[in-house]
Amino acid sequence: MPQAVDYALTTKLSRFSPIHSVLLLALVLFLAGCGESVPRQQVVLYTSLNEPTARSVLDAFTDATGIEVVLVADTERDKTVGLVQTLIRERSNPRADVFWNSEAANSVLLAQEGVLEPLAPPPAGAARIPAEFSDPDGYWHGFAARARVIIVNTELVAEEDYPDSIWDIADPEWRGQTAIVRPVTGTTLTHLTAIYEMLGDEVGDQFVDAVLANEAHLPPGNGRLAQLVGEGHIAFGLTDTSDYRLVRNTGSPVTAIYPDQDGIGTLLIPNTVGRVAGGPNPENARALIEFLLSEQAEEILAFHQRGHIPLKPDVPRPQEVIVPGEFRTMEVDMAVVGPAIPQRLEQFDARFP
Amino acid sequence: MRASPEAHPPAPHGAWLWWAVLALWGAFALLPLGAALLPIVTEAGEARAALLDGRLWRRLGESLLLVGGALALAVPLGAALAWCLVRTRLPGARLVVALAFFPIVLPPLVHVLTWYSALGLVGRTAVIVVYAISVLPLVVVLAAQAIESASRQHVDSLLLTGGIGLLLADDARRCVPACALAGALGGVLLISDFTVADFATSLGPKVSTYAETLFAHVSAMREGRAAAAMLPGLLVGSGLLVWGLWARRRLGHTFGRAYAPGEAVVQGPVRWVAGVLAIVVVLALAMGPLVALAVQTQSGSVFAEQFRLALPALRRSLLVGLMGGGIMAALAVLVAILARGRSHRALADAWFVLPIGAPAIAFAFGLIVVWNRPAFDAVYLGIGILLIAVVARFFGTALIPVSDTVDALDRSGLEAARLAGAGPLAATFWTALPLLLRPVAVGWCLGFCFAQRDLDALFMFRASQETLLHRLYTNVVFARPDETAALALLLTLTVAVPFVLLVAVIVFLDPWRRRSKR
Repeated sequence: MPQAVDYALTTKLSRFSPIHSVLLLALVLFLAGCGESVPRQQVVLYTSLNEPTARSVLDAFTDATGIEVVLVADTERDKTVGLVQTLIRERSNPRADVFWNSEAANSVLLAQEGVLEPLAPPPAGAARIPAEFSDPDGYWHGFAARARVIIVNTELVAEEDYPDSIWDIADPEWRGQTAIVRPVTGTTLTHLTAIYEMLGDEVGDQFVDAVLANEAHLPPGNGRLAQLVGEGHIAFGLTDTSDYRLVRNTGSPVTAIYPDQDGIGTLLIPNTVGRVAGGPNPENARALIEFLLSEQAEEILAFHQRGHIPLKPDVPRPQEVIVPGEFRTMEVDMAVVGPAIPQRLEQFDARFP
Repeated sequence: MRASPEAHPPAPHGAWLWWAVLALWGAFALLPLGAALLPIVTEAGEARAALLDGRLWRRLGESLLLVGGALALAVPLGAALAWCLVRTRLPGARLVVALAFFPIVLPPLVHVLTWYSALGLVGRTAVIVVYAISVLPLVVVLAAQAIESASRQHVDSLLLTGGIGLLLADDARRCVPACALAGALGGVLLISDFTVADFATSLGPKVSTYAETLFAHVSAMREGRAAAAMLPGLLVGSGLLVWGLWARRRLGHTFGRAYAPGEAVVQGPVRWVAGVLAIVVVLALAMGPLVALAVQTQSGSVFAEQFRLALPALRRSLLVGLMGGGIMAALAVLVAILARGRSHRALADAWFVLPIGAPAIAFAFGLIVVWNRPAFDAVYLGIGILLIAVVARFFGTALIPVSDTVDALDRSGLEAARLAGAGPLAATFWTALPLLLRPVAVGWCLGFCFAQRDLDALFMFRASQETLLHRLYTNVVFARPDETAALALLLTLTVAVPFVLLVAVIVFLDPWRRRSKR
């Protein structure tokens, strides 16, 4: 039999109905939201950079200005996509003040979409950064770059056989032993788009065809690719300097090659920062952008374990962090590459398995 | 008052409240989904192009193949294990069944981290095996419940008239709806996943799943295409769920008033061999992630350090889980009571489970469209939006066990309460409540765990930043493997705790068990 019913209790509580529980839940929901009320001196930062790296700079900013940074960071899995889409969907009621992008192409797109706005007057630090790394109209500014390098497992590849060009990914001698990230997101998407836009469709198609014919592995991200090379599953592959350094710091037998020094040069992809149009704290946004474009921020990022490359001259850096001038960089016009990203993405998604 | 309560189905009551709940559910759970799908209409040309693109269907086929392969492994094996657990009735078998549910609520990333390293598998096989392992316990739990629904009297009759063969046939018939529901739930949870395929095919031929196409369209800012690409997944997912629920309702059995569980059917040495084997296999699958991650963590100091660093994230995750589970459990009671005896029950089921079938990212984008308004600041910028998201998506999982029990309640207590002067709703609520404690506990537990599992779809919301799963996704790339394993272990333990509570609830609040003792 079912359990006995307390009829006295039932009678006492007969005035209570489940509608009360709905009202109670609504109150709980509201209170849960109220618990998140935000302080006044703050700036809301959306960043596609990973949180630990961003924090190293943002803590210094807060120490210097007293402005608290409310950080919304993307994960490696979502790359930049989640935040870019959120920024676009929040356009009618912006929640972010600043977008710190770990690459440049999506900043170009966001500027086109009207999500970013130029600062007037331009931030002081911007003038000391080479012009090719910033938007000519001031919608976004570049700083602290990463280079697209070939990470090599030194136990699997003899020094005399080290690759020196991205075309070595497609070298039949290394069939099935090389890797490139499936180019539908992040810096690899930017890299392949740059090859197509700067060198032409014919060269781009040749590269893609050769890579696929060579049965290159297609891991989901540069970090994973670097791990696989470090663990000896893959001989070498194309990744970012930041991911190479993380793996090297674990003691894995890897080295990085700056490719195509006798040819097109190594692609350099800067971090970029821009102010969100209509954001809730425009003045604090300016302060944060000024700080990110300062020598201090580039120095912190250079000494971070991921070792970002300073773009301003004379920024202190570890010896191992080499800067443009010490290696040949690929000439890229982001104003051309950025807008081409969506179309190329669809093309690569169809082309790569 | 009717003379025989069981001779008549209970009359539904609270019509206005029922329709109000349906409408509220539509506003909270289905409006965001509608907002995400709206570009199918506003950008019809793009949507048509996406639906005519062979890539979408090829990858959907690939996903269905992977999920189908996993279910082909998991369903027969899970049903066989469940049969061994129930019919051998070794000590501890009930505990094992309760624990077996554990893996399904773990995030897919935890499964990958566990089984990829432990088994060393790569490629399509690895994806199928990892999927099968994650679904198999769900099959075991539901199949065991179905097999156990045959009363002692019924089992004895079958054995007397047809022997073990007839009992096996009867048990198989009982398992069909349970396996259908398990397969449907498992399939829905896996169809939009790309984490496992991404990770497991990092080496060797790449396997691109359905979710990759969705991700590509979203990345390329093709809203019409992205919305259209969501449609097949949504239809397949919700179709599977509705079918699973229908099969369970149509073919399933509920406990009758004279129920008493059967004795062990398999006797002799076979009982011990089969029983122990089933217990070992199910325990290994259920507890495998805990053990494997503990081994990978290597030292207690690494775990302690990760625990210290993740403490704020742990607090936030617990808060979302506790509140999400609480809301789901309370709503499940309300909805189950209101839905009892209604003629359009199948439609109502579909109404409530539809969001589970939606790709998580689509749902999150829909929430932005609906809730990103100045009037809703308190909700949008706080954990309110996370609660709305997890409750809206996973409420169906809490509703299933609660409504099953509500449907099986007899009316004598209700009638007595009415005679004592209680109103129809209050009488139902308070007379049913004691009997509902167990399914409500199960519903709460599911709500808590799915809240942990699904937070990755909500990373674009500010409140989700400081959560365990967010930290784990960051660690998996930027931390040492032992640190990542330690954090995954912490997340796994966080999900495991409610299961311990659940097992306690099952042991102490199980009326059927107590009755059989009497």
